[in-house]
Amino acid sequence: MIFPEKQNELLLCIGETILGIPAENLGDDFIQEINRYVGLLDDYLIKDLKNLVTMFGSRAMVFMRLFKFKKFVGLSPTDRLRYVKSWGTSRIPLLRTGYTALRSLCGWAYYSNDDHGEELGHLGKTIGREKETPTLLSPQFYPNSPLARGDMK
Amino acid sequence: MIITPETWDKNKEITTDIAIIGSGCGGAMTAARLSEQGYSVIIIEEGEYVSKDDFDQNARNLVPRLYRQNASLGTDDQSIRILQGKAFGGSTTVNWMTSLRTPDWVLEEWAERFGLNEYLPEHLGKHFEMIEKRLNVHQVPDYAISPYNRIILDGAKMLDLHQKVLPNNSKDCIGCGSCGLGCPYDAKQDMRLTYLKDALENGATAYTSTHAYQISPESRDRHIVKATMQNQTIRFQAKRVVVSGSAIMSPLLLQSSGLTKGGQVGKNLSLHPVTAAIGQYDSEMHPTYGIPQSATAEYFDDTGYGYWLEAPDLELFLAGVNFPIIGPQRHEELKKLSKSAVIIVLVRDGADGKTDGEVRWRRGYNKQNGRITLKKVPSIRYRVSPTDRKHLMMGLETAIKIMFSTGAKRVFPFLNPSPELTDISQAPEVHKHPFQPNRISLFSAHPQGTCRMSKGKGVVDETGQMKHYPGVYVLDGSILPTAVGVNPMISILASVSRAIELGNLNL
Repeated sequence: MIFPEKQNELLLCIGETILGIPAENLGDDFIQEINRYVGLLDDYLIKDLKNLVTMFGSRAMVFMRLFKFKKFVGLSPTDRLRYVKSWGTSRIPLLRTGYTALRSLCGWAYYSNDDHGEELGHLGKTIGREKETPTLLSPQFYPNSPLARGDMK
Repeated sequence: MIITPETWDKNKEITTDIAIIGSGCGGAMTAARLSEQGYSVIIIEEGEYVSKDDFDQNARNLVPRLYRQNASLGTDDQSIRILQGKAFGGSTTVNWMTSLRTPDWVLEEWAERFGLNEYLPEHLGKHFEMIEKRLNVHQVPDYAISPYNRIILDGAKMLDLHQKVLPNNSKDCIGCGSCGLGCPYDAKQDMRLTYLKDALENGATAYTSTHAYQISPESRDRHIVKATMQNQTIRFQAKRVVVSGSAIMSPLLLQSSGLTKGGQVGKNLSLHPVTAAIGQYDSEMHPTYGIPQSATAEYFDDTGYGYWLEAPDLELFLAGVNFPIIGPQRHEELKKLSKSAVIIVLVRDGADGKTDGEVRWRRGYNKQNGRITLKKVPSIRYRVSPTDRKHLMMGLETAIKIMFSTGAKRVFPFLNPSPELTDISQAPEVHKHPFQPNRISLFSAHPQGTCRMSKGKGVVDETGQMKHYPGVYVLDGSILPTAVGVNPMISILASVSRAIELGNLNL
């Protein structure tokens, strides 16, 4: 694992705050995918991301942004969101970079899982299901398509 | 013949007429042209060999295999995400197929500013025709235009903007919507199925999963390319070396090799910076399916700079990563994805006379087992110029207006924080948003220009040969002297084809 197990709670907290999905619904898959994805990056990026997560969760950073001497995981949901947003709109470019990186990482870790597509109204893969999904082979979705009517190969 | 780590015979000393580094547009065209003349050609591709059987529409499986740096490549400050293919066929394996000729005014600008009088429309016309025929470029038929592309045509008409249906390079495309993860139906006529196929049939050999890291010119007719496969070094000895690694990777390879005389390698980076807006409708849009980018609306000013709009298909992971709001509302809004449409705004950058972008190595460090070691890391620096910013925000405003004109109920521009817009009258508000890195989501899939072709100050001459290194050629998107203002696949293919026609690598 790239991130130590003791940071799992922090990662789930960040995911919950950014994505708006309860930590219990993010689950082990979320943590495993973050570790897998980051582990595939170049060394220097892994180092940067590890530093970012540690810094983001620290008391010192929370104090600097919110004047509260608590770790990120110890904040209320409202304060967590306020804290994340304060990174995104900070005058310090590095914090905005951190915000973008965390948002991307969390978004990838949850929504790259095909099992979550259904929640978004995605009708699944087309392979083997071409006529059931919104392709040009489907009369339901493309009634004027000659492919759906069988006029073309 | 295709060599993979599994089929490699462990031969580490290989001699050839031409060694081509990269198998995207530039490398594929060069390989096809030179192999048909009977030259021995070797293609060295860092990415994996992939075929339609690999393209299972699974992002977790495919993104790390098909995209450079797992699709997380970006500028140093992460303010611009750069999507770049890294597989056999380069970015053409994962692009959204838009196939447009370089506009005449761009070619005329190249002649005027860079002395490229051999690249005027009358010279490139036959190359465009030849390429369009080989790639089966055709206009997307009306029945195949997806709902989320139809809104561009309808909205632009209502707003009295110039709009048109776009051509793409497909054959029997069913609109599965997974272009970005490789075409599982072999409908996309990318390089693997066209020019690389031609080259392989002519006897070329492609080494895949092979990373070229150094070029050593020994004389005009003898160059050594060092590469690694499975952590073992292979030495390719070639009469000519062609660098076709893209506008990001080509300058980095040249710099690693010390081939930087003239001081221009890596400079003049253009990106066609992109931002976007997502609109929610009452009706189904199914933005994760359908033929992408089949319509456009565009605005270019008298100088030839401006913006154009397109509607891509939205891989689930792209939606999840890039949806512009955060917090409890985010997932609830994403649940409306099937009734949403995204319009992207692409800008022809360089309106202020030049771009402020560069690709180079920078010093970094690595910490492992408590030890800190210095190492070089790639660096991409880019700042959006004032007029390009203006065009981006004008385009964003137009995209929002198009969405509301076509029935969108709410629109979220890709700003940070993103305002929730509910009425067309709010569209101009985007101009009030601070334009700072990471306060607006920016992307690019079109890096260009870092080994500029020019008769004056540039990296290569009109034949693609490096000015200070005879026998070393650069033939890819990095030679385009300015941003082309259209999706650049056809421009790269035609420019490379023309460069070969002009010089034939001086063979």
